[in-house]
Amino acid sequence: MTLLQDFPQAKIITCILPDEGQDIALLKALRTEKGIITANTSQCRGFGLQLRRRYKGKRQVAGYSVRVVTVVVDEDRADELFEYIFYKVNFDHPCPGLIYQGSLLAATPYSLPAGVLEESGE
Amino acid sequence: MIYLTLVPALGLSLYASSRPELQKVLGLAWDCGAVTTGPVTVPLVLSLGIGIATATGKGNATLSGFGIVTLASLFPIIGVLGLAIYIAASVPVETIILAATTGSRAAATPAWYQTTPGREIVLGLRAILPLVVFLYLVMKLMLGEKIRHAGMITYGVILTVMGMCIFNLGLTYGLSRLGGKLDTPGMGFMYVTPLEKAATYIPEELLKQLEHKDFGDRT
Repeated sequence: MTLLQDFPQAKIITCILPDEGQDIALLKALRTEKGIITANTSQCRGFGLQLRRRYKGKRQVAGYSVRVVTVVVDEDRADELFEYIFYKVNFDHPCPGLIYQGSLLAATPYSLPAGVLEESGE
Repeated sequence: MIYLTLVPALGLSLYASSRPELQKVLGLAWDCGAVTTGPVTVPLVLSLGIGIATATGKGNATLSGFGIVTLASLFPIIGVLGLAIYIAASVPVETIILAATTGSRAAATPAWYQTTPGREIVLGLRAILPLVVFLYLVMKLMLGEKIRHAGMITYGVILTVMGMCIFNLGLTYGLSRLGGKLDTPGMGFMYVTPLEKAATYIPEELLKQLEHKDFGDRT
């Protein structure tokens, strides 16, 4: 039986992006340029306090679609990938979004069978 | 007629409230009365009632619809209470509990009519066909009239059944499934991980603006 401490130490980088297709571009770039396949994107509903609108005399928070990209990476590559994602999704320019990094106790190794990455289609 | 229906409804309710095993069904039975007060059911029940009253030629046609919804609401109450009293009198409680337990275990491999889309098609048929059969019997037996434009009516019934089945399928696939995933409490999960660093773009003017702002009301 594999114990928890036998798995490699890992970090999780979470990126909240507007739902404008940047998440798919980021996943593709991570896969092709950095070889990262442990990344996922989910659609969520976001509420921004700064995006409140006045409606019927009250300030209302309008929900809008956001994408949450989570990337699980080895501990030693975490800082490099954090910086890579930061610039890849243009967080150095005006854009709504947030990126943060946390540590995981462990993460099971994940690899695809040979040849899957070369297959056509997404 | 309404008073005549009210008497057994109240009588059965009083009887059920005096029996501890039937008290639990009482709320369910009276809630069942509300099934006839929906936005689709009320016009249907009213038009059926007025139509039958006019066709049979008894009383003033404009007033004969009065109280029909109440009348229709009382029958489900009497029906549910009657069924509960009959089952309580004929079947022991242990058998019911045993049947419920084995029934929930046997549901591991549901039949085709218990799974989507079979279930929705059966529900659609059950919603339309009994009513059609009832109206047909009223026309034939009570009023003794011939069915005119039978082909057109059959075509209409087929379209109605198809529409009901598609409506049910739409509810299951579209509304229930999507709604269940998005907004139902308990459909998500939480986890806690220590935060190491975070970054975003904050415009300088916003930073200056935030420096002078009181955040007491937003915490």
